[in-house]
Amino acid sequence: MGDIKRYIVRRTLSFLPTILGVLVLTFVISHIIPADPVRVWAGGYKARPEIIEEIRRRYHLDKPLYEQLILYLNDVFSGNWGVSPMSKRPVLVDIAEYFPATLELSIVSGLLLTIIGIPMGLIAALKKDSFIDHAIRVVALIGTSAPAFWLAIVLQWIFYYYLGLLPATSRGTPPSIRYTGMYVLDSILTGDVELFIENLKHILLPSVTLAFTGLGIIARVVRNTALDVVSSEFIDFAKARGLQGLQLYRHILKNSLIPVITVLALEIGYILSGAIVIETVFSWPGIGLYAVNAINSLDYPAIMGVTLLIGLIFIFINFITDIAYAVIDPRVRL
Amino acid sequence: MKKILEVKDLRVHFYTYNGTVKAVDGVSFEVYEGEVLCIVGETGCGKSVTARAITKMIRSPGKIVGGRVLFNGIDILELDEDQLSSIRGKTITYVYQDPSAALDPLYTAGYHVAETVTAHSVGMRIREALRRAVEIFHEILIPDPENRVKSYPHELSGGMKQRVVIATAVANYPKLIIADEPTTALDVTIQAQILDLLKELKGRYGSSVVMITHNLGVVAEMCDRVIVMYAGKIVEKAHTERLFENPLHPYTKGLLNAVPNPYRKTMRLESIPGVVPDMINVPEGCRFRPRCPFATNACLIEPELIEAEKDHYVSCWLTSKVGQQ
Repeated sequence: MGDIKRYIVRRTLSFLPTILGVLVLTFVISHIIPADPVRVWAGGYKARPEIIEEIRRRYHLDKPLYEQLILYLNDVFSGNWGVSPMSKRPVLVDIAEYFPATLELSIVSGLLLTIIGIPMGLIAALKKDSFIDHAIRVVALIGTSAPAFWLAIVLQWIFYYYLGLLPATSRGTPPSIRYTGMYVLDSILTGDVELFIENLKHILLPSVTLAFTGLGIIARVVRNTALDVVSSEFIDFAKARGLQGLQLYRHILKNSLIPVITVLALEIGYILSGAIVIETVFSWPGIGLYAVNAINSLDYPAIMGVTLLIGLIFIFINFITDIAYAVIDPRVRL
Repeated sequence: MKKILEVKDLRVHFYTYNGTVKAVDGVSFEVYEGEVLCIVGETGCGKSVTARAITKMIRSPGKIVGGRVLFNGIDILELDEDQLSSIRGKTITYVYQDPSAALDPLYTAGYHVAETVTAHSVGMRIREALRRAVEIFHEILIPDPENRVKSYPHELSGGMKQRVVIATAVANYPKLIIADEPTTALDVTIQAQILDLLKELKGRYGSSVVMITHNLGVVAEMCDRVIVMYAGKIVEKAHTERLFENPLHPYTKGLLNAVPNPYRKTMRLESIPGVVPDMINVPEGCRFRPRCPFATNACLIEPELIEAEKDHYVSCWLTSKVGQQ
């Protein structure tokens, strides 16, 4: 395991330049927006020049670009991600409010994706070319090709309007004490069963919709890799050594996992970075919704904050993926 | 000598879109206790399929359609998967051709040996079995066995990997080791080491060996008896010295002329004209007929495998009394 520790340290170090790159990029992007944000914040065309000048000075926009960059880096690392001129609150506070909603959604749909997608793929591989394999193929195809908003509306129609089983929009009720900002988790932590069930009902439709869009890819990747592994020489040799049952499946499963991790990580990254459409349809106050509002009002401290957050999320997920690889596959630990 | 394995009229067919491939078509032979039996032939002659059919290791679209494989009086082909698994890796074990492909890259060398041991000993923990792995590594001259059991396949050389594969094959004191071209994927310098190792282990564990090869050098080095296969059938069967001194089948002669032969002076090496027949539309009669320089009309009828001299069988009208009308 000494190998793994060294590997983790090396990976961590190699991500530092990437983080710096993301920071510079967010900074540059937000400064090349064609519109003049200061005028917008000051109130549009009729804004008085003194006020525009004042805002420019307050946000250091009169300084040269490299000085602004240094100020920005300094601020980001000291936990000051700027103040949103729209909400008049620090961007980090806004993010802390909106992000748990997205995180919660991502965790639930990521779990659904894993516990449904992987077995689906394995079954399809083991029962290759049977009816169930074809059925799974069709489900997968619908999941990948149907637009997410359409799926969302259909599910709302069935489960809210027609069956009346599940609520169609919003996150439910926040529990009395806020631990993580995730309603479902917090209601478990406060021990409120009724609230837990209510909030679970709220999260079910959006997370199922999200999981459904990624299900097809996961199931197909699992199926194909499992088929490759099952027909590989080392599985044949394992059978020739008299292995069967669990001893044999251990080899098949572990080898099938490697490509799945990549796809799963990408899917979760996509969900985490704000599945904007889904959050809009379900009025889910997550980071996607926040980003759209920020873009509409040229709230560029917020835009930079969200961009940075998404960048960091992807870096983090890559990091976790790399470590998962190393744990599973010794050839990666070099 | 005691027979430990008897294969009778084995037939394996592969059902493909283009037609039925009769990969093994009525093969019979026996393996005696403590001997090394070689099966030689070109690629696609059915030698590997024969080897795998011995423990029913045939995959779809292949199917064993006939014959019997008697081992200790039991017909292996009648057994179910559970019973087969208890034989595979325990009494009959395999050494595969390419050790890089045969070992699971995600598990250590020692784990491969240890799980092979635990699969066949009820209640044994993997930890105990790993100690047994160290022992075996020691026996098969893997240097630094305590650390090598913890190595992953990619950290070992080809020769070392093949030693690990051999370790899994001898871990449960097998009666029969089936080695399917065990040196083909290795460097020439390593090949001799691996052959020596197999020879030595066979002696130490008292196992018999069925060696599949296309290399007549390996045959001369290792084998007590040889079976020559061509297009799914046995064409000649003899003790190794007799085969090299007095090959009877034109195909065997061709094979021997294609490599330097220590028993005769050859000025130049010759090749066998033509190619291995299409196994879906096999030639009528003797399957070697289209490539045979001595073919006559008699060869349109399939010759039987007959005993031409003591313990020397051949299937050819040239040596058969019936054929010399």
